[in-house]
Amino acid sequence: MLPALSIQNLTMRFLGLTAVDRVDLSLNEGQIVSLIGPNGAGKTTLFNCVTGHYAPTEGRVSLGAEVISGRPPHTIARLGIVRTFQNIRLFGAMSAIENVMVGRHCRTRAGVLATLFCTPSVKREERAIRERAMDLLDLAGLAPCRDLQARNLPYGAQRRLEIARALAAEPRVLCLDEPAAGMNPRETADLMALISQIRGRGVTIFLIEHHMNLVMAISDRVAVMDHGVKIAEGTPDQVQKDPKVIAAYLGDEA
Amino acid sequence: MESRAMRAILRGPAARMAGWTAAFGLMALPLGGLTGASWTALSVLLIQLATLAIRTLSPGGSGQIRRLLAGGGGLSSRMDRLPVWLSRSLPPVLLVALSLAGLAMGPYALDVATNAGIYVLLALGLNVVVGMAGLLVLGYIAFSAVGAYTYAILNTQFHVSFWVALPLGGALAALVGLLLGLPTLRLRGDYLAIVTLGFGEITRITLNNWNSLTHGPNGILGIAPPSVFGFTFSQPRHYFYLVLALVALAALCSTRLERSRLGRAWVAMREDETAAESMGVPTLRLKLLAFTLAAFWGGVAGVVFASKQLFISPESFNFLESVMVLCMVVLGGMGSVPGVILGAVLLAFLPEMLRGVAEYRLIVFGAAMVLLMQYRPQGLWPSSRRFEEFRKDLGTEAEIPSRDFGKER
Repeated sequence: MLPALSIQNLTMRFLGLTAVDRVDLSLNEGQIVSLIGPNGAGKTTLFNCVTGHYAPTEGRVSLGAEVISGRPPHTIARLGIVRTFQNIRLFGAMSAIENVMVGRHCRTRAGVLATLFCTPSVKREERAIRERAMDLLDLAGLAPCRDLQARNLPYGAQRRLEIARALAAEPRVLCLDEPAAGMNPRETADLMALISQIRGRGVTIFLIEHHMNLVMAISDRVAVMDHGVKIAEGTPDQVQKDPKVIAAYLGDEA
Repeated sequence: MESRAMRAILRGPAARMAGWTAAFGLMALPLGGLTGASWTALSVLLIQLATLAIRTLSPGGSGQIRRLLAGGGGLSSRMDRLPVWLSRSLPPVLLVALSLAGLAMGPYALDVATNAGIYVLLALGLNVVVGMAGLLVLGYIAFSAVGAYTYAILNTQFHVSFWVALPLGGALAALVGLLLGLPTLRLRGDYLAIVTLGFGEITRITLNNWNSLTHGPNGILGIAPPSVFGFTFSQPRHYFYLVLALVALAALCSTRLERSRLGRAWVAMREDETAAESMGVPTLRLKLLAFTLAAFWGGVAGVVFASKQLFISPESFNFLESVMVLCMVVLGGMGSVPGVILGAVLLAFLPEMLRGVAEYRLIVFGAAMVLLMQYRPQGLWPSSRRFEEFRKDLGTEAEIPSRDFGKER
């Protein structure tokens, strides 16, 4: 079976710096694959290449059979790869439910004329958007906060809202960039449950995370990057025992 | 990005007093000549000094004033919280009231009201791009010039009727907007403002020099007034109702857009362009759409303007007009339909009301603008969201919002 997402020979160079160096990685449908590595290893750069924020210098990214590298982010989102951000990027002045409703944009179609004439199909669509958004807020445990402004939500809730917003776009692959950063153990546990639930809906999850307990507990596979190169890949157990991984995290002399 | 740049411009901290003074002086230059400009500059400077004095002398006092004007107990937040039945019924009631008032008003009042109505049309159009999409456009009046000249030329040379020219002028302006937007909308923030400013000037200068088509600075004379089945518009009252109908239509369109998925996407784009793009919002296309729609209404307003004046010249489309329309949008509250209408009406009536003190009216105008920017940067009747955006800037974000956000959308 074709992998949901495959990254082939991906290289990203910024002038003299090679941030990502010939990385190969495949994510099978419905898996949770984590990407770990020390700070500056090139994880987020790899994410940016996958989601279209950077056009890779070499190599390609395919979603199913379709090559997506080099296409703009909004097209890639529509095709089925949606992300969250390391530093939360919600629409702060919009309410929680509106944030999620924006996520529905690429799955809805009401155009200018239909909107101006307020046709029945537009009304129906708008109602459907709202209902869908409400369901997702429920899933993320944010239903009581629906009308609060995003920027006034507690930190953990903001993280979950970002995930709900991403889910609204019906991704095949959901890319989460350090979703547990700065969370307390309780919030992390909630997040873990949420991620498992999302996988249960058949979404493939690509996760960057530093929180090792979380990574090792929920990942099907783990890839490790250091200095832009993928140095190991395997099940959580395999990776934890890999001498190269230990060296990358603890230093060479260890 | 855009809104941050804009906010930085609008908030105008006291440190930038000199900038404000020069800006208002320059703005007044074409209107009032050197004397007017220096008076305006002086008044602006005085007000800023007074503001600074209040701030330094009473550390708590300034905060109180701000809260009073900008926050909780202010007039606007009460208007924001209009009960649903009232906010639903207000527009039709207003429309009927204005229609009836049209019967009672004299020709002078009707003429002033019609001019105000044309400004409302312009402001509602500009609001789509500045208020909703958050792009700063400075040469907006040029689109109006395109509409006005479309009608003037088609009518005087080919006897095209007003009713054909009305959508055509709008469409042509929209096309110009689209063509201008294609290359320029990749620019962010201030750069876009500069390019559109240049476009406005280029349009005016072209109209001024293309003698064979536009008769240059002499303008175009003898434009026919609109007529329906042999009935020709001849009195101010006829134009009043025409403009009233168009304003109602524009307001309805704006409101519907604002509450649609497109309106939401515009706000999202304004808040965080990168995040919006990642959520599948095609930001470039949406910016183009906003630009084109704004240009369309500019063109429509231009056609109406030409049909009312029966004479147009490049002079009517100078930079000051663009600034006026932008001021209307900002004064009323960017992104808020009722606010923008209020702002446009106020600024259009202001010169008439200040006729008695004509020599000083620029001073009053400048003073009012500066006071407003200092104390109420979100506008007189802001949309609830803009209200929150600016409230954050005023440093009162610690308050937990108690408002029912869900009722509007």
